[in-house]
Amino acid sequence: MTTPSDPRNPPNSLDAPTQPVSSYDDVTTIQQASTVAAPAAQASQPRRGVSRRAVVIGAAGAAVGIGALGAGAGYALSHLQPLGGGTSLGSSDAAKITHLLRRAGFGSSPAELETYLSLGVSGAMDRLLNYAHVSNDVDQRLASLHLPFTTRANLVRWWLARMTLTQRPFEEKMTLFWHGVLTSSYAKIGKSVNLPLMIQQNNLLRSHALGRFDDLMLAISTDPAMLYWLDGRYNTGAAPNENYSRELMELFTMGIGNYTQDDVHQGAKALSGWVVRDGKGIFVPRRFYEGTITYLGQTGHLGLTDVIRLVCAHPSTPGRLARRMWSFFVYDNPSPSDLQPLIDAYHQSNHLISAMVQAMFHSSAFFSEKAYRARVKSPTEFVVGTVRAVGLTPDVPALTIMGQASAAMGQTVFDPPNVAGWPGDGVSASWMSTQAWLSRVNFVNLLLQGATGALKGRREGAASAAAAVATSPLQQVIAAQKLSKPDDVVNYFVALLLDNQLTTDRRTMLSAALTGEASATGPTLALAGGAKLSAAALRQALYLLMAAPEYQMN
Amino acid sequence: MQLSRRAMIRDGLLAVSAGMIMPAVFSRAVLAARNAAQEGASWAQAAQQRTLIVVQMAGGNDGLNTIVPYTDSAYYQARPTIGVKASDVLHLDERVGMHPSLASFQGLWGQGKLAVVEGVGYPNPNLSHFAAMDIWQTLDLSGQGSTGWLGKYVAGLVDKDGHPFQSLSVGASLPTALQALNADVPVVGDPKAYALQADAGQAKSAAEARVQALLKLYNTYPQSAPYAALLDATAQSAYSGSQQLRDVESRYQPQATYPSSNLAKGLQTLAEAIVEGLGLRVGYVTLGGFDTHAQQANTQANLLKDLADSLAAFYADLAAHGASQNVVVMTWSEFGRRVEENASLGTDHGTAAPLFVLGDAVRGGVYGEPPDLNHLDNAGNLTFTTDFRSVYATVLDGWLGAPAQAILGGDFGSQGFLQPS
Repeated sequence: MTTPSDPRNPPNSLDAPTQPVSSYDDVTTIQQASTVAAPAAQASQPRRGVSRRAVVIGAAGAAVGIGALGAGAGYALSHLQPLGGGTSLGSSDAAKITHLLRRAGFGSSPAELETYLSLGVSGAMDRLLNYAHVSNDVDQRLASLHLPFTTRANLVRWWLARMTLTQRPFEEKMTLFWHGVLTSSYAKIGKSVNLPLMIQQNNLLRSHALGRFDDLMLAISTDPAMLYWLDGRYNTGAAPNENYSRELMELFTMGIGNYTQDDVHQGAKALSGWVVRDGKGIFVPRRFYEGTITYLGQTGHLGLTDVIRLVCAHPSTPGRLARRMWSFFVYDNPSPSDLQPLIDAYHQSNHLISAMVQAMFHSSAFFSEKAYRARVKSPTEFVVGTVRAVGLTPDVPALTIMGQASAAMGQTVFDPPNVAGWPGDGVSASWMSTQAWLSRVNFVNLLLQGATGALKGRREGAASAAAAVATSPLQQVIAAQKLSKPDDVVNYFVALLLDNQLTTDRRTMLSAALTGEASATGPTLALAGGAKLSAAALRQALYLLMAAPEYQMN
Repeated sequence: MQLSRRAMIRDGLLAVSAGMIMPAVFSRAVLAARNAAQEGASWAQAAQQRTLIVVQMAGGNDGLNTIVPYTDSAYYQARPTIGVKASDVLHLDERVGMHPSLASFQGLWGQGKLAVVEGVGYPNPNLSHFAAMDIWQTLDLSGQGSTGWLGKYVAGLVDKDGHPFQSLSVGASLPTALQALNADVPVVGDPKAYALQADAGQAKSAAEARVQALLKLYNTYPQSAPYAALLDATAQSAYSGSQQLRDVESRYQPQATYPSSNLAKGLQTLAEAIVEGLGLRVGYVTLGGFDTHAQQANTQANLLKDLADSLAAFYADLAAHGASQNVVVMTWSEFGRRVEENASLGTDHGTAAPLFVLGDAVRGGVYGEPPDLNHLDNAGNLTFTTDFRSVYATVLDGWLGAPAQAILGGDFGSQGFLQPS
């Protein structure tokens, strides 16, 4: 297929990073966005993007120039009215694409949306899932953030930045999935000099994310961070340590009920002999068990490769893997018939993860009503997705806030609660609690102040407040999308974040916030065509949108 | 009880409240009274002021190095390197003593306010962390349960005052023990962050209007949508709870020096709820990290020190506020560890283990039966002597005045660690 140009943001144009802030109250620099438009994508947009958009936005679509979703915004948006009762995807390709972007990634930024919409549903899915073809400058962008792997907080900042800035969102989403399954924590990595081993594991998960499951399991079994996390480095033939052997079967592959305590013990012998040296997993023959082992019904001089072969070939393994995957990407508590195509794909492809992924995303259930807004957003999805949504390119202080906010919501990447990962990855209701909810809506409150220049304005004083608003991320979204009326701004974000699926009465509540008490005073944003919009009023409306129940769901 | 969407639908309140925000405390009280009338599984509280605090020691605490059988040669044979030396043990009696890192418990022990229950477990023990945790929390020995034993208790509470903090879990997410369909249990990480923040420079009236609009969006979210009830109940509870915490946050002054650990911070949050009369009946906090497969000595010592120091401060704080007579604390862990140490200077997953109960109402001493170190199961683990449900029954029935048999689904006996009331 023709690959369009990357929907990337232009380079980061931030203030020099300031000292990381230690609490929300100190935040003064969550501010500044990249220029939001996607000029590269627009300049080289293939012609078929236009016709595709015509399908998306209706008969008049072809008359809308190659631009953002909201180019001639009032007009285009008027063709994107809510469908049905506002709780299903209906037949809207645009809605399907934004749903897909949330599940296979972290939602869309304003700059990316047009590119994905232009591809249509199947094109967007192809670009997301087959990301090896998509060029990615995320490593350069991360390098400019200067985040040495010397502190736990920097590891978190690094990955949150990567998820926010990548042009391959599904690559990061799959890595996050595997991090919840084959998990490890920086809390058990020994000295801080070992912290880079967590990134090494993260890169291992990324590079094996869609490959053969056996290869992934073989690699993770001797990964240094995993040898720390589940004590494999202590496991010797003379004195087996059962930790990794048990979790390999119970959590990573076959599941409980399919093995005995003796299998755990014998498996530990077969897995013995590995240590961590110079940041690598090294096999030390004299630490390995020399004798005959009977493991899962097989007897012989079994070792690591035999164990991995047996657990990956066990009949219960693909079903458990499929369940983890479906629960993470589609909805909680899938039925056996939901999972069967994934299990079949595992067998037919000789254990290719990519085959399971394709089966899952191409399942009719993926766009079904049952799947729609069916999972509570994880803290990482919420934080990364919301930052992306307002067009903010995070600097180091912003990344600090993102990490703190995610922790308060119940997730710190690289620090799972235990070896089973985060319960919310399986049952998304676990992500919701009163504290988590307060942390979510408070994050929205703070982020919108950053995205409208209010934090910067407050920091730098009244004289520069107007300039802070004028260069704010949301001002740039308004300009790039040529939004000319206050309601257009709200409607644009309803389309971007809620797939335009919001009942009229609820949309009216958001619009009402634009003209409430908050609109009377304070700095204003410039709408296309010269009208003004109170920044406080816009925050009021977008707060309600992002704090609303619809937005808590993915 | 909390105003859950399910309850609102059942009681026909939803139609009334759509489009308006009923004061949450009021609607909860109405609802609680209706539930009391309509549901069999509700109970008035025999003891309105009493509180149970549950401390989960996650990961599987090594019981044999916690309550050490320092006179048993089999213990030292199985643990030649990581065994706690008899000379280091804090003697409780002629047979067992505490790990030296539990020194802060000695005061409570001396006052007769600390009980140890030995050999606690269940039949056919499961060596999986997660199956074992589910069994302890849901009472379902198959490991397939989903409703927590404390959740069942909370769901049945009749609280005419509609206290948002009848139950409270410290942290970011809700433990399985407190999960039940009709129990909406608030979770508090940091009491100071348990508030809805206003926009910069926002007038109070505008901030309040925004909150009301937001709650209306929850109140009117389509009931058929996935997790609609959860979202609505969570938002309502968070709002009413944050109002109440804001009112008391400035009043509470701790009267003890707590350690700086997360456990201590969590216990301090629970102390605040108790001291300020928020109606707390069940509080829950977790201390993790007990999965000591390797190099366990330092890890476990630090954790046990945190446990004892934090709980001693918690007790001292309550006592100084005149509230300790109303609070009983119990600990639990999903399993003990293998009797024989492994070659990594650690221990693998095991079975039965001791737990602690403490408070003014506790009758100090060692309860249960000591497991026999000379008669282990096939995997080299202890055979339990005390059913964990007998401990639950004791605190439910004897302390909280709740029908233990109804909650536990049977009669599992009881233990004698509470003072006769």
